[in-house]
Amino acid sequence: MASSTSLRFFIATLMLCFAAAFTAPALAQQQPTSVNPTAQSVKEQELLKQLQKIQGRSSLPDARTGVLEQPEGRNWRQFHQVTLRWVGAIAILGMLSILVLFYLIRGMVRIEQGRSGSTLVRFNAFERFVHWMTASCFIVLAISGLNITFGKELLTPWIGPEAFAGWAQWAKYAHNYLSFPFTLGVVLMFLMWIAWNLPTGVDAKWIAEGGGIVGSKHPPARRFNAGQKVIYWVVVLGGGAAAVTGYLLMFPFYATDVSGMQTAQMVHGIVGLLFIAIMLAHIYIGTIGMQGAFEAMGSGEVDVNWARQHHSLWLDKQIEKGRVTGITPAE
Amino acid sequence: MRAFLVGCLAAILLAAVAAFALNNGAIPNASQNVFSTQGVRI
Repeated sequence: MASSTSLRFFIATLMLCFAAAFTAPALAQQQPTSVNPTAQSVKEQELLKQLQKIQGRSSLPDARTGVLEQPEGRNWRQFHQVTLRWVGAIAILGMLSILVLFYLIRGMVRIEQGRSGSTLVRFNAFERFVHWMTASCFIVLAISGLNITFGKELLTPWIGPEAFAGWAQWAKYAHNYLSFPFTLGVVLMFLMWIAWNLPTGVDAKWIAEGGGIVGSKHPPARRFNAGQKVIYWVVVLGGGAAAVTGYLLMFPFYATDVSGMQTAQMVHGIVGLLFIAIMLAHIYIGTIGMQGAFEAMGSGEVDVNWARQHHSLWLDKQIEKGRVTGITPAE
Repeated sequence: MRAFLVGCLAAILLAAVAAFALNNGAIPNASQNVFSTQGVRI
């Protein structure tokens, strides 16, 4: 009897020990062994979700250094490291491909009647000066701007990081400081040529007939045809947008905050790259694309037959005013 | 091509004037890094 009681006691004790051994870890998990004083405090992620930005106070003199997390910055980084590069590559390489194809198919647009020998002034000295001041700035701005978007990836493997850093620094200086004469040029162009660049009914007809570039017709045009008017407005509006957004970046925090500057950089990048693509077409048609066109901005004088072919209404007016050598106005 | 040369020259001259003005405090903090601590006196 006594042995059966002690056996039952032994089995009961053993079971109790097993039960204690198995439940102990679970209890240990449920009840913390140490106290975490920040367990109930607001987490960084929750702050970010609610405020869209984490900022506090910094011991640096510039209070703006207190911004610790700004998720819009990630979108901006994605834009200028990926999206902008695709937009630029497609726009510029696409335009170059179109121009090469066009040249191979259409060739140079020639003066059909040949040169007459008589010339008339197309752009005076001041107009040419403004054009070339703006154009020379634009070329440097375009190259230094492309360097910001593509330079690191395209040039560093060839010239190394040190040479690239030196070049990029000077390119940035040139980009900043040449923006001033460029902006002045855009303003002067706007004022100089606005009177001839407002859309008229003649432009609709010019566009409908392919402008003499597509097809063999040469529709009448005044001083500037519809294509040139597009270039004018691209320069005025695109140049204006590039200047405004560029100065927002050049003078940080004068007119906008970080978020505004991110938007300004996006607009500046897109406008700049599309501007370059469109100017490639302008350079093409002003040089190898059309016989006699470069003279307008070179010497300032164009052949009468060139003017008759491309700007017949303007030529008639100039003859009326007695401005064409060798041709007297009709009585 | 005189207009071209004069145009280029004017662009360089105006850029140089802008660089001189901006680097001599015409507009404070122009072209500086946003978070630069340059110029801070301790």
